[in-house]
Amino acid sequence: MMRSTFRRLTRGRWPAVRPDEQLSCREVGRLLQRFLDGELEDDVAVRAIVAHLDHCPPCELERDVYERISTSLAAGARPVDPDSLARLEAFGRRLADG
Amino acid sequence: MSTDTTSADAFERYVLPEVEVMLRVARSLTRNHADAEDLVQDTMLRAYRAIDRFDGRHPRAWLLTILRNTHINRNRRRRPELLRDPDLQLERAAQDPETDEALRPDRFIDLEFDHEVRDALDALPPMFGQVVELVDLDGLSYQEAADVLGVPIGTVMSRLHRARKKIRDTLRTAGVAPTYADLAVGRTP
Repeated sequence: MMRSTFRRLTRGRWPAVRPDEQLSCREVGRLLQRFLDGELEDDVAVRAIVAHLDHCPPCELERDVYERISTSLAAGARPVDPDSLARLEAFGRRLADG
Repeated sequence: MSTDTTSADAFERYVLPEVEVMLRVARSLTRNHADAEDLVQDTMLRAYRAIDRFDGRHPRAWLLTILRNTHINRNRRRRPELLRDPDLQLERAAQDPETDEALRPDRFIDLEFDHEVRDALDALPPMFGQVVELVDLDGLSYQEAADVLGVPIGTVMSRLHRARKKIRDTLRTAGVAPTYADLAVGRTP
């Protein structure tokens, strides 16, 4: 309980997840974005989240919805204007060539 | 090797590979193609002048910091917006055809989902929408987004968390993202 409270206050950064620790849905919810973005560097925490998701359909659904949102956003990213890019790359080469 | 040659090499090695990322980020910051190009050009010029003082570590973070500072300075100066190239606008309008892929019936639900996601993103307050754009659309790491916005990484995390939660709630209200209760009901014969 105390661990969970401190982790909430430090936005999941402390204390670290223990290897035998079972995370609550609330804690998984707090770490889920970093987990999905590959920004969670703690392997123990990653394994604890995976173990939780495997046995918790509501959290698994939550993960699926957020993944779908991220995929949709990434797919909707407009390509950069190729003319702008070409002009800037040419500008950069001119700078490099002096 | 002369100093000039070394500077040119460093510029080619560290700056040129990042032009596309800079352009994406500049577009998210300025919301305007012409301003974005102008901003990246200014950033490259500053990077070129400072390349001798760059230690070669984390070039993207270094460039994005220059880009952010340049953006802030430009906003302070309140220079008038550059005129948009009308030919470019026409060209862009022609680049948005209805593809066969988009017209497939089994894509309708995905298209509706995508449409709702885009609307939800546009409806976010700029402070939150910008973080989503930088991370989800421009592909920046949390630290890179923090560098661009000039905020601590924890702020990026909390804004991203709140922004995505808001998008999820909007999708659920629109009925395009299931809740667990929906799935449980759907399972009954």
